[in-house]
Amino acid sequence: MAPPTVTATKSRTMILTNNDRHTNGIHSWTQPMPTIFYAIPLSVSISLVYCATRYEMPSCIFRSAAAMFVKILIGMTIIYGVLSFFSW
Amino acid sequence: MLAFLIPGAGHLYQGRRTKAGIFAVCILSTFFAGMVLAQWQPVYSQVLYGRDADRDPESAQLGPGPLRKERSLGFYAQVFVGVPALPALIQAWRCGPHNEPLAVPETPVDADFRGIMLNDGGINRTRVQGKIHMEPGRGKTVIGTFTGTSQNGRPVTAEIRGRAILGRPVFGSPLREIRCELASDDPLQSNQLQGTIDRPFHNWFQAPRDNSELDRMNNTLSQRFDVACVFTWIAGLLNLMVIWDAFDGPAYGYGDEKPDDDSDEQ
Repeated sequence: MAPPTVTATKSRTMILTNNDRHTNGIHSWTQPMPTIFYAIPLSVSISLVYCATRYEMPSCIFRSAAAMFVKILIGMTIIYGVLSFFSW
Repeated sequence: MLAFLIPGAGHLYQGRRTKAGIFAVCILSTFFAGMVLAQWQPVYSQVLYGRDADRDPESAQLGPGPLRKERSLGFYAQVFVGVPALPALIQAWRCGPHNEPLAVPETPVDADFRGIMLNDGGINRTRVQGKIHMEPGRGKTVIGTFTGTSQNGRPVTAEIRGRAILGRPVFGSPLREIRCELASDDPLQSNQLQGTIDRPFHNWFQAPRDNSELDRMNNTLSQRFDVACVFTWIAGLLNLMVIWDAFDGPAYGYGDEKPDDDSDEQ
């Protein structure tokens, strides 16, 4: 009787790639969300932290963070539009 | 040091509470959003390669001997989040030379199994899932049973008897690979079970992993795994700015504050 081999086989690859048990653990709210929309909370976070390291007063921080967030969104929208145009 | 360990803690210690709140909420929520998106697996400090990585790129979990380790570049960004990313360093230390695949389990194994059954010397393959019970036998062998169902819903029962191999105890995958021989009437034909059982959370969380596991994560989560990694990288890099702010104040100085009454009089 041959011992279990430790080399990769097609069957093992099949186990790993087809194993969908852990897809059941994904929260349902993450499923339908298009990837592009993850940029919004990320932009909010970056704007707030960046501006908070630039200013000390809360009013200055929030005002500049809001402006920066809008600039980021406009910039990303323009880039997205240009890329979409050339990939169309 | 506080600003490094917990985002915002340095500012809280300095009495800058508003900024401490902004930093803590933004950075920790970004980091943990990434963790949740990637099922708590985007943080790892090392990528492992098996001894025969060129010939057998998927042998890191089951392959014997010491593994070749390479630093994960993303961890250089993630580590600046502080305490939430530090378990990766502990897991890298635990994943040392003593962390070898086991031929015989130290304690009896009772776990959910998912994988394939190879019959008639590997000619017939059946996808099965169910319960596996395995305990040390004589010498380097194990004995036990597998009870479950096949892909078609047919009940499957098998006696485990012979050699086995279990994946490394500490490894960055919640799936611990296992292979074991089944009892066979024909000594020339080896019947085997190949598949995975659950690995305890403390043995896979932020632990080093191989490319096979990263492929599985990308296959399972697709773009979400990359997005999650970006979230954790950015959280770490943001905390780098926060550490500097705690050390040396805001980048533009204090010019945004109201002037003091004394200066008005002068």
